Amino acid sequence: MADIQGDKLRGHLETMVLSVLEQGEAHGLEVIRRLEERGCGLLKLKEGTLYPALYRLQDAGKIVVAREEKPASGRGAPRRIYKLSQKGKRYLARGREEWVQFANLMGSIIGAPA
Amino acid sequence: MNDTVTHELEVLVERSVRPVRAPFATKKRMREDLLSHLSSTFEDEFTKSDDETESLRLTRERFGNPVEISRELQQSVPRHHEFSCWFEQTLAQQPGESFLHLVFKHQMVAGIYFGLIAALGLVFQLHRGDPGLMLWVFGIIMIVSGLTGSMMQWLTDQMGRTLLNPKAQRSRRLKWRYGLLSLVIFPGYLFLNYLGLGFGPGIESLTPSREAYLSLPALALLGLLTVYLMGPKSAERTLYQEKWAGLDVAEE
Repeated sequence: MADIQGDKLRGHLETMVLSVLEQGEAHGLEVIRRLEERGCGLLKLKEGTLYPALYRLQDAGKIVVAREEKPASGRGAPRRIYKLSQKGKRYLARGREEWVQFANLMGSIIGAPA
Repeated sequence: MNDTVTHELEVLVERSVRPVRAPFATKKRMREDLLSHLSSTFEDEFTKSDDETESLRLTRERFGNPVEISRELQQSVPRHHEFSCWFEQTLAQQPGESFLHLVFKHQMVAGIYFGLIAALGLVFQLHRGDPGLMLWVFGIIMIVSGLTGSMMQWLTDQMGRTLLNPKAQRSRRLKWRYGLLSLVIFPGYLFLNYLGLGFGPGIESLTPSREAYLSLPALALLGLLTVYLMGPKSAERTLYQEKWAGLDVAEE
């Protein structure tokens, strides 16, 4: 199966990020790792594109910065640890319902049931 | 991770962040987040390969195209933040900007602000039959405000740089010089306004009131405290901007 990247990802990235944060709080690199793990290696996300999604989610109140961690080397900027907010949890639940409806609809139109 | 690698990662970050129109705090956060992420990615790759050049190449590949990331970062900035970005860039001195250009920008902002008030005054006829005098009053306040604003901005930044670098040559002399200048800024603002208004149409003479004289010590102290307390933060911000603006981000 071909890698999933680019436009196929774009519309769903925020919901996917909320989903991996449901497992527990994480920094950006950890979010990427969880996405790749759940995607069984087929998901090819350019890591820089994660941050615009994180900022939009934070502006919308769906995620919050739980804390900041200093780097192990002691040099450089601290990294932010994100967690799901109550609003994010509700949005994720709605997102899952919408996805099931969407997948069923696409399946019935193109003749490939979800 | 050595300084060369850090520099390369900073260049990659700046390629993505520099074109973004956003307030200073937002861009600072973007730089911190992306640099922190890239540092972790590099460490991750270096652990596997033990080869700096290869690890840098893989880090860039995993990060993605800076032009695309820049576009997506811009889309993540709310529209009203772009306006506050314009306002910020207009009032603060930018890296490499001359003092004259700073004065021009402050005059422009003062012109818009007081111009609007004067226009409203004309529309609602608040001039009590003497529009010339009203326009003169707003004109004088506009010019003096613009000059004072730019002077305060420059002085605060210079004092801040001196306070942040106490071991620098002439530091003590400079602190005294900026301190004395800051004492006269706000009293100067008050008296320049009196001077200018005194030449207004239909005004025979205008002398400062007793209250104006009594306010001088408080105004002087206000100027000094403003410059002294806000200086370090202002200078930190300017030095930070100069550092990132100095990076050569042109593609090889």
